[in-house]
Amino acid sequence: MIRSLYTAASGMKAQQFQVDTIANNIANVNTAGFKKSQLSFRSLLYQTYREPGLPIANNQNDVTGLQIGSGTEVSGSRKLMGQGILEPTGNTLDLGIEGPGFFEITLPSGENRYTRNGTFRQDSEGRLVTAEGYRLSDQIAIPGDALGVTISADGTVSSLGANNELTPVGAVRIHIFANPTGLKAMGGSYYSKTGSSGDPEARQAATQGAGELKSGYLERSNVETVDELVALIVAQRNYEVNSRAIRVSDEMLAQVTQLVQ
Amino acid sequence: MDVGLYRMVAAMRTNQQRVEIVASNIANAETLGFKRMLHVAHGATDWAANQGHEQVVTGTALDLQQGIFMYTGAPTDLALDGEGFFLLDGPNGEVMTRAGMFQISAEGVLTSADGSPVVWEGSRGRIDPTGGEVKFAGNGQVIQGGQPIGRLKLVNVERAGDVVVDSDGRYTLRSGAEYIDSEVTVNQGFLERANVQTVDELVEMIAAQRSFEMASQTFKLISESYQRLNR
Repeated sequence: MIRSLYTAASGMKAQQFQVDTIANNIANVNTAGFKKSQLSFRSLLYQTYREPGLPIANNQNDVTGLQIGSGTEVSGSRKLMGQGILEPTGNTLDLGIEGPGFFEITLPSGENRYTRNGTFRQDSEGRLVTAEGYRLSDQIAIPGDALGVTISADGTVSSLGANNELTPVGAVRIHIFANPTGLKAMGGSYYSKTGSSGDPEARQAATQGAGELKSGYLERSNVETVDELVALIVAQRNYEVNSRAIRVSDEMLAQVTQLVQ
Repeated sequence: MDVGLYRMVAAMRTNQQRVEIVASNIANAETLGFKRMLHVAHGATDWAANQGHEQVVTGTALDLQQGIFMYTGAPTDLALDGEGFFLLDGPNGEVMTRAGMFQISAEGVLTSADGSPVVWEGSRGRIDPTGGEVKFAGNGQVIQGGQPIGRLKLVNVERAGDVVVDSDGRYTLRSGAEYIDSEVTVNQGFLERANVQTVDELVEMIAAQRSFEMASQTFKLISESYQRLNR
């Protein structure tokens, strides 16, 4: 059977994955702290019919050889960790990170997750929690009688007392990974550490390469709609060209069957 | 039997392989650092003493032309401008690649996307993964926090024929060939796309299809003339 049928089908499948990824990026254009995904492909198995440089006949060497590839497959996806735009919200408990690093969140199960979505609020006991109610692992509780809260660029959280005095109640730390691209996306813009990402290192914000905290700001997703739309068009065209290759192969096969009457 | 029949079969086979090669190029239009395969047909004139057996033989050659750059801004994305390759320590020995989507492992080793360490000039440099900003200079020099920590090995081959694609689509050196020095420049924050132009591939595919059609029509013609003779 003509191999190009399967080769082109692998190309179409790869483009389907590409469109899926792009659609997810576009859908999350307004998700705070979302990082866009990028797929990468690799070429599949090459079949070597003839090595280059082999003798063919009469002491002649074949200069070309014959190697035909059998298509493509998705080799992996990665999160592009580029900075998203920081958008002012006016809410003190909204935290944006300018620079590298993540917030550490403790799930009710005790596991840790990492996120750049800094939409924090207070629970009934005054603790800083995410929109889903998961606690910040730094365990910061703001006293109930506080008149206000300030969070500085280095992460120090202070509560404003009745006599207009600021009392530090804790610090939001930034967690840095050796290879943030290796983090595993867990949904809800949370990530978990993997063997590839390495272990998190807790650092004070704005020190030792950790990002700076911006209170009253949220980091938007780093998805550029225009880039995604261009990628979508390219994926669609590639899909079309691959399907064309299938049609050509099919027509050639049809001609072979006509040879025998 | 008429040699024409065999010639036509050879022509059909070579054009079928041509379509297979084109299909593989098209399928890899989005594969980073991919280099398209060219279809090279040549007559095997000395194939047999009898010139009547002259047939067409298919060959492939790697087209090492530059692919266009795509900006990503990621500090460990490197694209090569010019002729040359990065070297990777693959599981089965050294391989060449132009897919510069690298990452820094937790141990500070610069690796390819599938975890093969990148080969450095001399001993392998260690990049502090949580340290300062890493810069890659045009000549492959790696600088972290203003301090040079080594140079990536960049190699070139004398001609495209020295590059063999292994069964996994990685580039290896043909046995007997040697690396030569490379003048290639490293561009940080970019990736090199495949050098596949879908328009060119489509044209090639249509041409192959028509050649195949002509060969099969000629085959039919010869075959019918024998039928008339037999009547």
